[in-house]
Amino acid sequence: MILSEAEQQAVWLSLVVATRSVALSLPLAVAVAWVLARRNFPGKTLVDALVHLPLVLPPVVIGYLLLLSLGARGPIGGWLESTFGLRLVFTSLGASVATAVMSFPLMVRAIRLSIEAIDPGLEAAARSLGARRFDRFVSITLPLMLPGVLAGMVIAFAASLGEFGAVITFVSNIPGETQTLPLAIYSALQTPDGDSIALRLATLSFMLALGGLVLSEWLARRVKRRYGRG
Amino acid sequence: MIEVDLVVTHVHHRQHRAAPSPTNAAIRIETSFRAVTPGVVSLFGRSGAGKSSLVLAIAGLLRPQSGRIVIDGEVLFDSGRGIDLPAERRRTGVVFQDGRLFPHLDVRRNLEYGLVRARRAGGGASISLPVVSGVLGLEPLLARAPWTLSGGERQRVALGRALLAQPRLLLLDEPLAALDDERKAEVLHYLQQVRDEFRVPMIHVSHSIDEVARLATFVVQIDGGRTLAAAPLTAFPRPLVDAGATAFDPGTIIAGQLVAVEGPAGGAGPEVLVVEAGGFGWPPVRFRVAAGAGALPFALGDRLRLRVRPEDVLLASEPWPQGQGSACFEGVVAAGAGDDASSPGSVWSSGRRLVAGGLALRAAAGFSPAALVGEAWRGGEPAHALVTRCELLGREPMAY
Repeated sequence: MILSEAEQQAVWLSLVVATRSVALSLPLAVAVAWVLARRNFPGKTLVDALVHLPLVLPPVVIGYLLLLSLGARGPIGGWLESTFGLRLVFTSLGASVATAVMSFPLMVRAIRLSIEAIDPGLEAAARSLGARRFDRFVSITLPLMLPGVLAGMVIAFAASLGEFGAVITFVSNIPGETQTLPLAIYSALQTPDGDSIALRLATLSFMLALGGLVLSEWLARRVKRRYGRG
Repeated sequence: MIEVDLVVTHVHHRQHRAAPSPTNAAIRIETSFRAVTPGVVSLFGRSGAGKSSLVLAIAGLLRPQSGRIVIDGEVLFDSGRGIDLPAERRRTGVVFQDGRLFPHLDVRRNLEYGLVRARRAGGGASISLPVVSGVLGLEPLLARAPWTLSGGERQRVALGRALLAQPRLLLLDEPLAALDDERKAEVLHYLQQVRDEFRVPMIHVSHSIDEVARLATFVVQIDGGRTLAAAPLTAFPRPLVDAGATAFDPGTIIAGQLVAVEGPAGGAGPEVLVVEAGGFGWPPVRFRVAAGAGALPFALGDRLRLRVRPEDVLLASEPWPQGQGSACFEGVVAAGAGDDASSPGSVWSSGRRLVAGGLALRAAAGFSPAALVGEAWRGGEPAHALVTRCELLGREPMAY
């Protein structure tokens, strides 16, 4: 299957947007997952609900909220543009932000589960051996939650590749800038005789998803073998 | 000196947040003892008595309600003065019941975990990896992953890891409880080695009398959240029968010096050790004990620990024929708790002690040599004891 330039562009853009999206959300997701798994504080339920909001709200609503807050005249968007000259609306970076928000709860869930599976006794043991808080996190908690982090990254990456509603609402559908695979498929379906293009793009999506699943399975097995579980 | 005065309340809840059950009650436990270092303090009591909570409190992993912990002059906790050293700065090496080896690190890196951090924190690292792996036999395991180790090996690695963190105090929380009998004996042997080689003060939690008898220099008996008794093992107040099934009765622990090694009677078989114990104005008593098979790990002059069980002590008013049993000697019957001299026809009640040469041997009820039936013993009466057999428990940790 030889790809046309437009198709290559859509695939490449999707990969770039999804990669950036995972890179954006990962540090925050690890922090939030750790807090939710290991800390008790007033308002924890509220934070938990807030994190899960993108999972239950229509993606278009999320896109609209992003537009309101991060748009050129939004409170955060305006500040970003005047301070850093950073523009999110109608840019591929904005697309990454939209997909990061949408895939955030999936990533947090996967990481949180892996943190909850770690025996807190191991951290207590590390403490008695002289490891301070950050040291413990880096030397014990982080390596042990690695399987969950990897799983969360793969899920978030896949979700980012497929995100449609939030992206098209926030950054529109500009070929070469914000037109990822699902948006390209949508556009193809809107044009007369676009059926075959849509089918080719759908096949591409299918192959990317399959590749992602195989990769994550392989990684999970490697980690399991290393830790001797399963 | 280990000084511990603690009140700990601990709501014990199972890990992984199982459904709340009625057993999630708060335990309140009080203890107070002073023990000389180096030495092994054994916290002894039935399972679930809150002994482990005490260990966690001493390690700084559980905040006590109030109290004071001072190890060799270093204050780790003092609620009165607002001192609460965080666990990572207490230098208390903990060996947990389940080992708690880090699953993502191999044995060598597990062992080095505390060592590296102790070096980084400054202060010399006098306990080195080669020495520890030599004493604990860890060399063949260094490259292995924790999940490939047997239970006994895992506990040995956990012990080595705690030692290498250069602790001022080693805390052993039922380190043998998860092992089968054979592994228990193996790890116990290593614990004795560690006690005698590294001379790090230890606090050891156990519900096994045998373990305590072999390891301890000082015993703290805990039951129902209270400390029933705290005393050096050889001076432990006995009998302590009121604690029911958990009464601490290891028999009589005797420390003595190896003065002679006799060949076996028939030429073959294990050698017999002659251990001399006593003093205190009475002639010393010589105990004869089988050395067990294998090469003798002891030299003349070594201090050894023996145990005499109550059922192996017979009393008579006439001297026993010489050369019988393990030892015979003369003494005075001491009045002790549980004595009931007035009960007619009894041999004697349990708790009757014979004191001689600074030794207090307890003679048990339940046997009836002809000479003794119907005889009632009163405190202060002279008597002749025959120790029919005694058991070698290993080396006696140095005098304190």
